[in-house]
Amino acid sequence: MTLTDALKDDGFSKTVEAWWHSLENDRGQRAELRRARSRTEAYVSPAYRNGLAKKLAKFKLSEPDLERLALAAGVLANARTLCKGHFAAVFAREGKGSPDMRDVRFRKLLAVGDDEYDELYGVLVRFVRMCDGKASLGGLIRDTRHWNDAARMQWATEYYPNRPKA
Amino acid sequence: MEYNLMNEPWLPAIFGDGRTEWIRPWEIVGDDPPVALNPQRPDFRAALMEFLVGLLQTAFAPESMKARDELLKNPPDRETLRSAFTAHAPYFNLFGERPRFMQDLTMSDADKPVRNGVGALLIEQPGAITLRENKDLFIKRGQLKTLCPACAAAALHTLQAFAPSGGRGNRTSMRGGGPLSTLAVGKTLWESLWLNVSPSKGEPNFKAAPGDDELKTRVYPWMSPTRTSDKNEQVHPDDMHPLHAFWGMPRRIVLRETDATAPCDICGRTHPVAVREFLSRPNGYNYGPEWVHPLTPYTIEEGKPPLSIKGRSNIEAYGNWLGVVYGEPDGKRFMRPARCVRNARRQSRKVNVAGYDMDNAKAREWCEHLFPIIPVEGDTAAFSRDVNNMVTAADQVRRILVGTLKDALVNEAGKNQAKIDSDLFKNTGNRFWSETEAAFYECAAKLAALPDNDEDLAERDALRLAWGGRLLRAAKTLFEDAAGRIGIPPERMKRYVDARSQLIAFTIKKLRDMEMHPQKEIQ
Repeated sequence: MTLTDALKDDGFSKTVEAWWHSLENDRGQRAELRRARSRTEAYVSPAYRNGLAKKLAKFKLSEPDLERLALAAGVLANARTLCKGHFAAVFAREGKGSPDMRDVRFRKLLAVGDDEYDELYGVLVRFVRMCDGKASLGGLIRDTRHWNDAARMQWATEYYPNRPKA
Repeated sequence: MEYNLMNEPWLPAIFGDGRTEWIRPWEIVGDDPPVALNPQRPDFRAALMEFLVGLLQTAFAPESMKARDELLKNPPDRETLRSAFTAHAPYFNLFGERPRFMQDLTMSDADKPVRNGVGALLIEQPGAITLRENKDLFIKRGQLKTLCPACAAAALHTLQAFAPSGGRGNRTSMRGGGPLSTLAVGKTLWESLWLNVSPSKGEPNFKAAPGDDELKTRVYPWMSPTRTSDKNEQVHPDDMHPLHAFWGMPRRIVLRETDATAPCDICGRTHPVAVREFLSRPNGYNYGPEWVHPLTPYTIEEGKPPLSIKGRSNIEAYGNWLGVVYGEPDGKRFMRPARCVRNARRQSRKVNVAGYDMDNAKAREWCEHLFPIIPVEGDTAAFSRDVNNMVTAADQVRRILVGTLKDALVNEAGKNQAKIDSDLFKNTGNRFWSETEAAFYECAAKLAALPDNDEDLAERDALRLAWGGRLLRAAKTLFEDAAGRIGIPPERMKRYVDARSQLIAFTIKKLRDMEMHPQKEIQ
């Protein structure tokens, strides 16, 4: 199954959520994922291979898809709370600093070049920190699979309408 | 040299097996009837169709609608038509002693007429000023030097029927410059002509077969001295017979025939006689604004004279369909279809609209399009109101689309300078029409099939909602396509997102006002 098809399956996000909660009892795995500084590091880490990748075995994802998914795994490992809604909307509401500062930071995300996943990874991990450990599954997998104009537009469409009026 | 338009085979017609033959006017019927006219130029076709409709209306008008419908399926035989037409033969000499068809009766050397190359008869050819200033860039001078009598007659009638403005005293046709000719279309040439002929009883009264005197003084303008307009004198409908509408003669022209030395530059055939130049004088018939031509739709506005619809580049947009075929709902300002179309709606399935898009004397484009006619089951007024709403809604959504697109793409400083009709915006607007066209006709056909009763209200509501949904979808797609495809730099992303949510919010609000979007649930 491709990642795109898997995302349509209800069980998929439930499994990811269950895996995230299980990190609470597997500090070692979480610490290892947190140490990853890029999507590639997350992807090759044993913690990812033995953790989330194994849990999702029944979806039979291909290696390129597993690599894409590693970004979400690494970012989520840095989160302490899981929120509802699109990740961009969560950042728009919860991010630290004034709305103007948030705009500047958000533009950094939009400025990440096409297919620069390692850079994207870094920006998103920083977003989680700026939100006091809050993150969301919404869009985190779907809108980072292919980083291009369409994805940027998705993030922007979720971010701008949700920012508090200054 | 004799060349009589009633006796010469001068009309190129195409037959069922695909061959083209030049026929006489009364040969439009017969055992193997032609299916359409097939001249080399589309403007000739429109003008020659009008010529034949006018001829039938003048010489062979049916008395009542019933009589017309009977002849529609059972065309008259050739002999009947021939005797009806040849009675008018004396009025249709192209060459020889004057009076001559569509040519000035009295112009003489004393009038100091202007000598023109025959190319100037054709509307798209460069005029005198263009030649003097060397501006004939796309259509070069000198390509048309010799016309055969058939093409000269066609060109002459085309010019008189569609005459654009062009310099002082060069009068326009009675419907203005480059009017839109709308003719109902049938399966054969006969049907396509006869459908557009009105019964002679009715308003305004065409009075079948006027007497010779009346024909000479009030119908065929070339049979009497031209009513000149040196001091802008106007000719009003009361001065002439209603049939004169088909034979307007705004330009004073006399063709000069000579022996041919080359084949015709339009049809390529050789004929012993050729027209290489013509004489002209300004200030021909200057038609007053009250004329209503039976083959052209008009905009009717309270307290103003009717305004003819002209050829224009977007004539095929479905926004024109209602006005051309059924008429817009009565109001302060609305479009009324040509009389011929109103009379033919029951029997015909198509209307051909054609005309020059003119910028004064400059022809921008020849526009032609075939509109469908959908039979309306219920009340036409209700149908026309519903369709009009659909078009209005589409136009409003298009405006919102183009406006928000501008917000998304143009920075603050440039916003006031950016013209809303610059290419990208205009193209997106045009694409909006074409994008929604198929859905429009589908929706209109469903509306037309509804009978009038209380039960179909739900269905009408559903159709309105479907149409609104289609408009919203098209607006979103085109917006994303136009604004998003080039990639948006991060600093402009906010403007894009804001504009997009405005597009959706405004569109939904507008559509709700028109009951084309589900209303908000009241809690």
